[in-house]
Amino acid sequence: MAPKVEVHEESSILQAVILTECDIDYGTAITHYNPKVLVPLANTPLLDYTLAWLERCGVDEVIVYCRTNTHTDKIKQHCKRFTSRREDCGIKVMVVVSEDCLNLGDAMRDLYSKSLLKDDFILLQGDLVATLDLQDIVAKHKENRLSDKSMIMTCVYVNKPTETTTTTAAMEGEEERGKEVTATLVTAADTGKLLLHRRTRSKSSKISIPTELFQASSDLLTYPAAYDPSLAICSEVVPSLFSDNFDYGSRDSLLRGVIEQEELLGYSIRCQVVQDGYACRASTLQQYQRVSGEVMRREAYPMVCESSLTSHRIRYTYDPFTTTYWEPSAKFTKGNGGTSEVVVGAGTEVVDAGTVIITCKLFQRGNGGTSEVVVGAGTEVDAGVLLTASVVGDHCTLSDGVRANAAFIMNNVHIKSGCKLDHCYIGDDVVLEEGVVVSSGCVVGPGVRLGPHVTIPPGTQLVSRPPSSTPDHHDDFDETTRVKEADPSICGVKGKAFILLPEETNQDDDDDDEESSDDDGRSSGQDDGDSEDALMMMSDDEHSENEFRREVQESLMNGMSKKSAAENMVLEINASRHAYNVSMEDVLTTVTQGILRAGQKQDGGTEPTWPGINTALKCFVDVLRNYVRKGRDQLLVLNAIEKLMVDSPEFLPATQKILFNLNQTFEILEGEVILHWYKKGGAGTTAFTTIKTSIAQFIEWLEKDSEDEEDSEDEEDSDEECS
Amino acid sequence: MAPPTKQDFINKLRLEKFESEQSKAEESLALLEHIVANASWQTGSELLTLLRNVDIEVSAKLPWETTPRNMVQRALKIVVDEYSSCVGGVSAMNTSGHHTFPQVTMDPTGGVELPKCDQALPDLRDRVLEALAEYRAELEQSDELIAVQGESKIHNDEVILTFDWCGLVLAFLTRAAKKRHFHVIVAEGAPTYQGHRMAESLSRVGIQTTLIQDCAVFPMMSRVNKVIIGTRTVLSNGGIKTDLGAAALASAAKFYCVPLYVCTPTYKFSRISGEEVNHCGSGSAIIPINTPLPSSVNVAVSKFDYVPPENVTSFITNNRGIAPSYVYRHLSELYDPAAYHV
Repeated sequence: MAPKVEVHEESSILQAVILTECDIDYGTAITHYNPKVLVPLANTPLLDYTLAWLERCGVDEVIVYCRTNTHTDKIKQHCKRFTSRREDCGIKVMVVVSEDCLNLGDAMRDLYSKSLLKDDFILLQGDLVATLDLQDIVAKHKENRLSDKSMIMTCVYVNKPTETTTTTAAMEGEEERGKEVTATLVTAADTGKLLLHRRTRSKSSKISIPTELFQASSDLLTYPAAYDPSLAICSEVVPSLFSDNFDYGSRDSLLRGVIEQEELLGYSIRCQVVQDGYACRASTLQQYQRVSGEVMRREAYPMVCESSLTSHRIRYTYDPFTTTYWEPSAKFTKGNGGTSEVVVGAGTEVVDAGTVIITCKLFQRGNGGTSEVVVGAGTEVDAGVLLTASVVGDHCTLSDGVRANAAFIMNNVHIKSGCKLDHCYIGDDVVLEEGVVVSSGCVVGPGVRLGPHVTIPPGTQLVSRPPSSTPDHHDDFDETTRVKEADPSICGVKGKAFILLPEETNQDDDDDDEESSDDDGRSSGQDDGDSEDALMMMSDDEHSENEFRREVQESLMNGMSKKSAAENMVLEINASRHAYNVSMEDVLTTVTQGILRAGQKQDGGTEPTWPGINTALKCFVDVLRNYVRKGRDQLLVLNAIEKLMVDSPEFLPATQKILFNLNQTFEILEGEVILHWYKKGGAGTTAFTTIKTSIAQFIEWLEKDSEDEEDSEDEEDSDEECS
Repeated sequence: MAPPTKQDFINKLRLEKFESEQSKAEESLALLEHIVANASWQTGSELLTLLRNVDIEVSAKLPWETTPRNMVQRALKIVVDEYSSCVGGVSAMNTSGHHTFPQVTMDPTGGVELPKCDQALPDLRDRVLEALAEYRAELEQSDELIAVQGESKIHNDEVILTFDWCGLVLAFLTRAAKKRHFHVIVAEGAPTYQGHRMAESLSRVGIQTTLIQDCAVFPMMSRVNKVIIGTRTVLSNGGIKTDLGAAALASAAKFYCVPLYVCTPTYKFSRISGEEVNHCGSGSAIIPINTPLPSSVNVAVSKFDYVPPENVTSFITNNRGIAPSYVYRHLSELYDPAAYHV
């Protein structure tokens, strides 16, 4: 027994770097009050899982790296508490705080300049829950490094069997998640050298592998979707590489850089796909829910809910039959029809033990056997409560008739009867009055009061105080949140809550959300439910599109009144386009509609008249021509016109003339294209049927025109007809 | 070597770094000796409290680890005995004959008060250390004392059934094999499959060995003459708490009236009364890797099995053979009544 340990002490100390500012966080409603790594998962802070695992794996020194913000002290205190519990003889925890660390690259550069890293070290994120055999992985890394000096890093991936089960439940927005946490890997079979690293994006079943990879190595191992726990064993070269290359922001960019410039840098990266053991990051709230379930199902054994990771005491009583954990001091009030024949466990009062059986019955009724519930100390749960896949913190009360499915309830929460909670996060000290329904994806921040009888729509983030009016908030928080007054229609008569609009928290990289801007277009960081995510994306896009539309419209109006040159107009529009990052297609649509609207406004009246539109068209024909280059663009113009009719049907009478002029006078639209568009049914909007009737004449003429192309008289005839 | 600390010991226990119960016993004794020798204490009561803190800490963190707690109980008994003999020697206040401290008062909450040993006795430290060293010697030879009984318990051409890995049983059988010729059937001991290791070791010393599944003990039992197993803990009622699969094995033995012997040193005798503490494992121990099992399937894995006293024929200990019904007596010899609650 003893020699085993001593072998490890011979080698130099093993260090680990935990980044607490994870690339993705849970959204301001949670992280404003508590840093992400201290958010409790099954009533244990996330950081404890990481620390306990590292300790178990014989890591000597841990550097907890965080950025200076309001949470720094909390993290420091927590780490201190963690080590003092161990009487300072176990793992050493050092908290390193930096002023301006925006991503992993910055952290590495900072640690390099502080020269805190002496040898190989383990690099990981603070939200990782894992039970992998690190000693084995590190030993393999060292072995490989001895044989191949150019190998600078071992990336650890997990072949997750559970992945298959989650893809079957793909409706819960798992695609998005899959993109972020899995990677396609191609490695050399013999050395494990990483040859290709790609974040999985396509849904297709094919993977394209560059052929030159086959020239280098005869055996390739391909992992189509290896789960990436963001765990790497780095040699001391890695931080120096980061400091040499200031453009390396994330680990992915380092991977890309090293693989692409292998000849130049002379470095390579090994990857190791671990088969057994558990590793999963609680990176988003969705993942949080998943990890929570897996921890309760004891997949992260020996880190299980019943034993505290800080003190190692057995804190909960565990019932393996229903996967329920409860603190002996939690009270389950007796309902009707309870049985009294019970085996009393050590330290459990008879009252509690008797009622646990009753609640177990309830649990089973709800979910066909498994319930996965953790109930914290001093919590009172009434008999009629139905809990499934939920965590209840300390000192909560749950009254009769509360239904909670996948609800994460923190400490001191009071939930009155008739509340329904579904896939939501309830912060500390929340009070829910009677009949509150919290829909899926909601985050209820600490101290919020809701109810009675309100329904919170899916994906809402609620906070207790209007963020801008409180003095103790740091500045960036104020800027990035839009506030509404406490509205009784939202939070109920007795309620006190403010909706935190999620769209803008997404954009800020000033807040805790550090690396999202750097990390390969992982733009949607703080997603919760898929519904919320979708909402966020839409509003975000729409917002910038509206801004762009407004600006283009303005420049067109100005241009018309000042009779600006076409190239100046194009310049102006392009500037707006770059500012809002709008695609070329959207530009064309906007410009087309803008020109037509400009015609309407120029006329002064609300009713668009042909003469006005005609002047506008004449004025901007060169602008429009600049954007219409291919046949496809012409279709876009047509679609844009159609969409305009949807919004403002008053343009309808002029449609025929617009199309005719664009075709004949300005020669922007080809007859063939119009016919094609017409036959295909336009853009498929509701307005097409009405357009169809109004331009029937024109189409008829076009058809005739294309049949006998040489007939110029015909053209003149219909010219008269039309005008 | 660094002095053993309580924290280190518990960490080691927690991280499952001990190979056997024997090493747990030895290390915990070393820790207790260190506390007696180096901690600052004046009176016997102070020492008792210090020692009992180890017990309390282990039981709060790792309630299924009984061996270290037994060692603490044993040490408590030694301290109390030495104290009373000291007091008896120094002052002649002793009227009743042997005990000077008041009789044990049972706390109504279930906690037990330690006997009062309030006098500061200068030579108590040395005497306790001496007694502990004696006990250490006993501990170190307990395995050997059990192993030598092998040849008297096993006869030629017998079929012995054993279960899982147990160093003590291996030593017992190995010793017997020097004089006797017999056949051993090993149940594999899922899910850890330590029985494979047992079978390998047995065949290496030239014993004819057959490996079977755990669930196949019943069909094999009809031809078995004796079942010899090890255990983790002997409970105060005479039952044993041991690795999973033992209960089925014992029931099968009972059905065929095959005697079941449990090899155990006396330090495994515990005051714990029943099968109350079951340590639960993880589903990943029994589900093969890469098995897609939906999360709605509840997997429950327990680590210990309980064999009731009526299914145990006898304990083979380093002292003597003990029948399950006499375990309670043995306990009262080993441990102080103050630390003895049923």
